[in-house]
Amino acid sequence: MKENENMAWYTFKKGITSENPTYVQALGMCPTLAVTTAAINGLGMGLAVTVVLTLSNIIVSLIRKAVPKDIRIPIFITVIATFVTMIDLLMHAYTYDLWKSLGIFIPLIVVNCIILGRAEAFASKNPVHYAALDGLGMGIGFTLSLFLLGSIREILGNGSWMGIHLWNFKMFMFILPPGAFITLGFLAAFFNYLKIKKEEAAKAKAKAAKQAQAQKA
Amino acid sequence: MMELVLIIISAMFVNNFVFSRFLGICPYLGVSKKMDSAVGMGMAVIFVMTVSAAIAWFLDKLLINLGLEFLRTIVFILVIAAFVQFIELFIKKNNPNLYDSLGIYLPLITTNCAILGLVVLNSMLKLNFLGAVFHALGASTGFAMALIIFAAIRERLDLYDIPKPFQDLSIALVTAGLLSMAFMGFQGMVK
Amino acid sequence: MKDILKNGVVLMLYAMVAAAVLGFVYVSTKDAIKNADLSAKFQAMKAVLTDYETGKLMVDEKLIKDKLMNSGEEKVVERTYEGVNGKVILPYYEFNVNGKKIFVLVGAAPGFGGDVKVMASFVKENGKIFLHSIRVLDASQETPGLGAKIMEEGPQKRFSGIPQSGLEKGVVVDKDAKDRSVKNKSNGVVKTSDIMTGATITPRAVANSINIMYSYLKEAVLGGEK
Repeated sequence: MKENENMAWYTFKKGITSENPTYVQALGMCPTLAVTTAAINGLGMGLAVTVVLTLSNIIVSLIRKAVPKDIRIPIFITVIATFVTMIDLLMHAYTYDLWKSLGIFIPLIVVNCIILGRAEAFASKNPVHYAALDGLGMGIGFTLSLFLLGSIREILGNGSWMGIHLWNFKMFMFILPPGAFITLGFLAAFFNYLKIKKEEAAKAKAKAAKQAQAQKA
Repeated sequence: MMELVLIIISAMFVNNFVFSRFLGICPYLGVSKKMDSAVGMGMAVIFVMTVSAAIAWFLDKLLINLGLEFLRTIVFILVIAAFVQFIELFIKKNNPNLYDSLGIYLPLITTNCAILGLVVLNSMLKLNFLGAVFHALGASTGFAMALIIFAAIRERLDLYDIPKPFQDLSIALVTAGLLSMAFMGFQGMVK
Repeated sequence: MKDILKNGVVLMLYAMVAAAVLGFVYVSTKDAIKNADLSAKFQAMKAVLTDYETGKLMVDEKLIKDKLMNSGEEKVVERTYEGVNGKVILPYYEFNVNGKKIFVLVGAAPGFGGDVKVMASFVKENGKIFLHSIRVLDASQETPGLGAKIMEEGPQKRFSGIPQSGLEKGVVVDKDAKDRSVKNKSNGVVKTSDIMTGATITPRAVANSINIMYSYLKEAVLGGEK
């Protein structure tokens, strides 16, 4: 029982930290760069992807035994495209402004490599509850990354956050396309730095433990 | 005629898919480590995108006439996937040499958002048939160009001593940012 | 061969289920989508029909709603103004208030990445027409942070209240003004360069679409009457 719980927690958590789709796996870069001109857009896109990812993971996992191996990719794409179109229609109907500002990137969730990637690598091989947790975790990891990037770009580039005016100091560059690449590049370096530090610390600890053991002997 | 030339130039430089529309970033970052693969991927994209745009244009008209526009995304992506699979089989049978050099990039193209993005854009901008095909030609050539320039830079980056946290993804993104800044110089070229 | 056939059938089954599910969602959201589109248009119309000086609505809200509800399908008319290919999107709306005639039109002209769609209200009073105010409906193809700033209220307000003399000369943004010393609306010059730093193409598209709408209004709508 304990082990099961741990396993479930790990399945959920890894998408947010150690296998973060944006900073570690570099997947789904197009919407990441394109819609993050404002924090709210990043959040909206992230949530839309989370919903599609979780639902498609569940369905793919449910039908995984009824899918012939040769045509699995077209079938997965059909499942994903169905959910994306549903989200598109629902957002158009009930969240008009957000729908308008995300524009072409809603239909493009279909080709967001995170979703097909998780369907192929995880959901098609694992039972439903793990697949759902994996989708949720990856989705939240993606949403947080987008929200962070969107916040930084909005604060530096437009002097506001979530639409709230902060100050008049604006650096246009961060809102423009080059700013997207460069901010994401520096964020990736930062998370990479944290990872390297952590690994070094772990290594030092292991070494110290070894030395202590050697001394004892 | 002038209009078509403008469409090509605008899609290639001003609204370059990678640097200003943010489409096709995954293959752009993924397949740009070596010059050979960048050239191969670029050529494959030019071919698939142009033909897909032509096919999708007819399908779009058909769907609009039937009042089934909401099925657009699903139809487009399935057609692209089927088309890519078909070319793969065709090339494998008829031209093994070409298959060796292009084959591995073809499956990757299905999930290249640039292709679906272009098709959706064409439908949103309500271009006519020639406009759609030329837009695809310009956009894919622009993509190939971006990819090849980037691969050339990355091959050189390998030789430099880059701080450890910046290696690989991070420096690639910053380089892309600088390239994108250079491409902003083309803004205003096409009115 | 048998395999291919089997795979084809399976794939078709999946596609059919997907289409059925989507058809269901489409039908059940159809009305809500129509309402959302209409309410967006209604908000825009309310904005252009609000007096920019007093902040009061010039036309009864109910009347706007009625006109919108009974307006029928949209129709696009291609139109050229001094070499710029734009569009007028019909229907146009006409309101009669206290001896004034107010026309609301929707037009589009090419901006940076695609068409910029603008709604404008023209007021005809004492035989003279002036542009009352505009609302940008769609600038989603413009560069975020640059051209897309046109969606904010500040830049749009700059286009409010252009008199007939300005409309006749043709509306331009200050960067395009031939005579740099003239910077007033009665000559058709609208200042945007300070508020839309670095973006000329998008406000130019707005100016062009105003010119296209005005020429359409003059010829096709008011053609006969003097």
